[in-house]
Amino acid sequence: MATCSYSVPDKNASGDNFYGPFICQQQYIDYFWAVYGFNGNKNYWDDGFGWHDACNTNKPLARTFNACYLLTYSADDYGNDSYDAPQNILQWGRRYVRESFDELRSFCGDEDTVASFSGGTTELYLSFWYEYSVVERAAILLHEARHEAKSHNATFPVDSVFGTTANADSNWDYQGAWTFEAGYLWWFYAAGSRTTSASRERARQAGNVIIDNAFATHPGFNI
Amino acid sequence: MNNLIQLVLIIAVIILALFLRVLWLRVRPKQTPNDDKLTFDVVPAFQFNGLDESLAGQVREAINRMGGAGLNAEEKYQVSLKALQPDSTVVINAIGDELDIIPTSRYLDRWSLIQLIAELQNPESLTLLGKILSKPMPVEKFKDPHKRSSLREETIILTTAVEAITRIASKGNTSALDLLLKFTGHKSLSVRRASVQGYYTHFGEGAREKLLEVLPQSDHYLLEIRKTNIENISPIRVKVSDIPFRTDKDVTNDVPRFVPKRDG
Repeated sequence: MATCSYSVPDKNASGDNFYGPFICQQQYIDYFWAVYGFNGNKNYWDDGFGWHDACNTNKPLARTFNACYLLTYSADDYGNDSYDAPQNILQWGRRYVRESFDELRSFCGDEDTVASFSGGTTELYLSFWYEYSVVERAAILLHEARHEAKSHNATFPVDSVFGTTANADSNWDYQGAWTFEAGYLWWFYAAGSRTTSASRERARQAGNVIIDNAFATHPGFNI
Repeated sequence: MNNLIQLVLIIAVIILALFLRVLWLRVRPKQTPNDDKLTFDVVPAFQFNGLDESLAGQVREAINRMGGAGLNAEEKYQVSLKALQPDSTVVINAIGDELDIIPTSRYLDRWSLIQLIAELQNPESLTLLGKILSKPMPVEKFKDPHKRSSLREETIILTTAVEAITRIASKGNTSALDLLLKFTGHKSLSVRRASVQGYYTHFGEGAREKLLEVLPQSDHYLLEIRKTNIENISPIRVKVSDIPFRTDKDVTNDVPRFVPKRDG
């Protein structure tokens, strides 16, 4: 058992103040709970994580719901989640997370990890909810979901902000977790609906840092 | 002889069982306790001590609206920015003061201050932006930056500062262009890349030659990185074999109908 605490900045740019009123409807909460891996994991979402207060966007559960909402509804034709072209990750990303996540759990975590995935189980930690904007959380969910199919397969380039370990992807076309994360941010920048130019700019800047630093061979393009 | 064979078989079975046990211990999902407890308090994101309360409130509103959602999110955001334009120099000075006191670990909030500078597009901000980009890069705070990276967050802040300079440069401001050229030599690859792209786009004729003069040979490739639309690159795709087969989850695609709403 761990106990953790956090000072939540109010009225900042994360998006939680605005997504919160949207998610606070029973049909959305029921849907997210059923499909994104929360089901059966109530014990991981109580004790201050939000189970008893699902609309309170100061708490992790509502902040995760915000990311689920953005993931589910940011495409104009969100109902079409086919993997076939011309549909893109903005449309099928929600399906991919739905089909890859078995369990979605929350923990205090150590301060050195944002999220992790193993054998269908995704764990989220403190910084996931409090240091990333709503769109970045959605992109991180996709990164973790991609690990169901692919591990990282290369070492980070010299001077990468992600360090020196073998947790890079070789290149964009490897279609690994970094491509999925940067690609989602890119599509949100290009075509995200019902959002602001600032949120899209945040997605662009975050995506570009991944493109510059997470591939052993730079893709040769950026957002 | 039969006894010997039996003995060998028993030993083989024991070795196999031990091997499978070790394999299981390595691949099984991590079993972690599920009774973590979280407490929190809510704090003001920004002080803005140098601003009167009315203007401080407008600045907070604009930053808050960066994360807006709903049919009119962008419209409301733009209204909040327009309200700051008459006082943009005062606001920029206040942002400079705020950056001096805000905890460095509040990365998203620090980013939003720079993003606001970028939106105001006031040349008076160039001194502050130059100062931000000239600071030494901090040391990475976390043990495994793949899992969590403070330099990732710092870099997003810095590339947004470059974007702020680039927006001013796009109006022909030569001081902004000089700053972009200066930061093509920054320690961060992403800052160098963004500065090269900004300069190349807005300097005009001779930009490429000037950059080739200034950039070390090892960075000449930055000129070839193309800013493009996502439709122009190989699509992100999923294969059927990527999707796990799960029998223990009732997966439904009966997504609730979304009713577009205006916020506030």
